[in-house]
Amino acid sequence: MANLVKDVTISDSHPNTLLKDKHVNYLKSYSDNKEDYEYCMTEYLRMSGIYWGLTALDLLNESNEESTEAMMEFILKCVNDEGGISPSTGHDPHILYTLSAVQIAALLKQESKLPVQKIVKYIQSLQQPDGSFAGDKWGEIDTRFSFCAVACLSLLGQLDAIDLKKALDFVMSCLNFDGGFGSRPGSESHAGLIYCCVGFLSVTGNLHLIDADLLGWWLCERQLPSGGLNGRPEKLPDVCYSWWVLASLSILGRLKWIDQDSLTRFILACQDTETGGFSDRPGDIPDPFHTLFGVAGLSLLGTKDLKEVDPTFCMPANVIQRLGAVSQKLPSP
Amino acid sequence: MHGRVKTRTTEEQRELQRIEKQKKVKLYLEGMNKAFEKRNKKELDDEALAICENLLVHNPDILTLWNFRKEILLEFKNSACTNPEIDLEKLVSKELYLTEVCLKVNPKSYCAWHQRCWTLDNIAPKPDWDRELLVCTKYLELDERNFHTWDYRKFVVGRAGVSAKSELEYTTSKINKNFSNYSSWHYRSQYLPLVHPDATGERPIDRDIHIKELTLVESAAFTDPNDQSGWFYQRWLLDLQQQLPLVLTQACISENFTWVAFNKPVCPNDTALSITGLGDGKWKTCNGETASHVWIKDTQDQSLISYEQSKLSLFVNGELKSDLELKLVTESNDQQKMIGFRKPSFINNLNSALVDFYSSLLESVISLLELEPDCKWPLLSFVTIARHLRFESSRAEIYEKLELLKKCDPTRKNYYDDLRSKFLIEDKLSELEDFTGVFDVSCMELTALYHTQYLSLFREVNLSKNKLGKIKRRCLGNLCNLQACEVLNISDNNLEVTKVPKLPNLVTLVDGKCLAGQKV
Ligand SMILES: [Zn+2]
Repeated sequence: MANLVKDVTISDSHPNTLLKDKHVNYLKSYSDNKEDYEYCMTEYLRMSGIYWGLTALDLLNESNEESTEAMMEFILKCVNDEGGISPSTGHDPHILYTLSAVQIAALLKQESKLPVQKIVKYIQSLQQPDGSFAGDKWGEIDTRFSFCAVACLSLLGQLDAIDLKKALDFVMSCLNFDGGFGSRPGSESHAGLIYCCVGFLSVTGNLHLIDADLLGWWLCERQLPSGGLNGRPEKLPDVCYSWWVLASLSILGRLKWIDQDSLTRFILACQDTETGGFSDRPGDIPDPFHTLFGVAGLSLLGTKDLKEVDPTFCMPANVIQRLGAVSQKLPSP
Repeated sequence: MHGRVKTRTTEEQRELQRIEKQKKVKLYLEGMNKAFEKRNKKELDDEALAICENLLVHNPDILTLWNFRKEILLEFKNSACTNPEIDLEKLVSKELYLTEVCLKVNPKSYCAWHQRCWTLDNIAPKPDWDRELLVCTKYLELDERNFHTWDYRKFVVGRAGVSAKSELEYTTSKINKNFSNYSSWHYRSQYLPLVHPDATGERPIDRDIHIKELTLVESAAFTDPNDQSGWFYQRWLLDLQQQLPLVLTQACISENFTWVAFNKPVCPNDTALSITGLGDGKWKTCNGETASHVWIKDTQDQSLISYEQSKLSLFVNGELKSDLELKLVTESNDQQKMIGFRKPSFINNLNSALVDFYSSLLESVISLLELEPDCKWPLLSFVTIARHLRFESSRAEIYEKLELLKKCDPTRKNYYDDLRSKFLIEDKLSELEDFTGVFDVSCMELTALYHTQYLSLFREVNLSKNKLGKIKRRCLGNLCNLQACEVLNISDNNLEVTKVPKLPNLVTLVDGKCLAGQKV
């Protein structure tokens, strides 16, 4: 019953500057060895892995060496008959990887090469009578998929292809007592799902439906003495949750409610000084997922030498501007 | 990818690990190839199930393999009608067992949890929901914060037809065992309004239950004043009032420009809303977004400016919700316009029983603060309760407590500053009788600008000598509500003039650097 704050300690032995070159090297060499254990074991999420790596590199002002043609060829091989996109060849299509693929194409300015109408049809087919979205044809429902659906359609300029009113009603039915959102109606608030629901409202221009003071307070309460943010009360801090909380606060115009200096210090401490890359917490093994969210978080915090990130799409802001996609933000009070 | 500590290893250990991993990679690649081959050949059989199982127990997140299993299970189910040798019950229990094994590897595997739901819904001839409920209870004893388990419980409860009352009791028992469990409090917040709705419909939950619940959380929170879960729940309960209804707060009809202001942001495209007494023309938001507090239109309709037309009415779904009286005013340049405003209300009044209870609660918080003067949560609780009670006597103390909060919780000092600014503006607006002349909130150390929807009629707004520019490149989108403003003073705030939105009546913008009038 004792109330021990779960947290980590950050010392002077942890890195406190951005190890840019190391990260570039880490991300570029990640897919060098196709027989590598980590690489093989993450095949089931390959498409997202590529999006994490490419976006992180772009935010670091680096381009990928792998050719655009090869990347697009891979994506097109992963499009199935119904228009859904799979994480890798042989795997099943899913809305998560459909979004990742569209994000990659947008980053590479190749969105016109995608079979847009097929993808739109696939997303339409996943909307349920109550407005929610299934992740694939097997029917798992989650607000993550509502976000994926509108983010994907928005990047493709086809947001009106679904029943937006019903989609909105479903997301709002997941609103909780603390102002946050969960994965389904009645599910506990969680920073990742809050990001998805706030992102959904941002993409569809409905942020006025949020009690931004209540949710903003819950979000800023995620900051721990180490400066890192957790995803739910009484949990450990984590670089990926730091991004989800930070991005949500930024969309709500309440970024200043957290201590930005100590968060910057926490994220920098999660860098791997040997291999490059970011891990979830200081001293853990890095991966491309946390590397993107570390870099994106630092970009939102205004770290020098990084491109500006769009908090809603977690993509470089210039890409979102180029596509003219809506990503609404509330003005600070 | 979470919680894997990087350990120092010797060259020798690394070599061993490399060989070990190579073996695993080989097994993985062989297994996947076999699975894909079986699937391509449409061999939906026991062998295929076994291949998938071997891979999934090591990596439960390979969704495609779970999908393959679903196809196989459906095939077995289809054949079961003609083939008596197929034992569906056994298949189901094997599938459930596999998900349990996988959930031990990764308790947060979305696909393993979904496989369990899917199997029970689609394959099981007679799902044993009582058993599933026990599984949830068991899992929640192992990890009472796993939100997947709580979600699964909700799924099972729905299928089994367990009553809301019984689930509410379950949360009571969980909280009695450990009140420091945010998940239990969350779950409780879901069931409380279902089990104890207010008979009159005037409140979210029954009043006596509200008081009882506040007492429960009080004892929990007071046991360990540093524990956040209970306090979050308490703040929710304290703020638990019927939502303020949508009302028209201000309006102005002038020769060439008309606007109305609401207490909440609303969408002009919302067909449920209509306002009578304003002629034709399409409403727009004043900020270019989907919804805003202030709607504008620029149709010219002289006939509306008269002594007769004196009331606007807001209808929601055809039902009258709010009236706003308008009066005719003549400006110095002889131009006439109709304006109307009402005193703002920021929170619903407490009924007398709750006033008594909140007062006694405030006393307890004060005694707790005597023991622990720098404890964040009771300080915040004091602020929340005192704000609801609105006793003139505690007004100054609220601001003192906010200063204390900044000291004992410096991480969130900007939040407390903004809360202070919000309260100050609310206090200021509550004192006003007139909403058309000068609104002066200069020199108040404001860090935030709340409630600008009540400033739409002021001719002059003075925000100078505050701390609004504490945010770098602060966007001043909130100022778009200042429709009547002719003179706006933002000086000594470190704000950028270029961030001030276009305001239709602005003549002079004072920004501190120069007093030159900016003709818009
Ligand atoms: Zn993480």
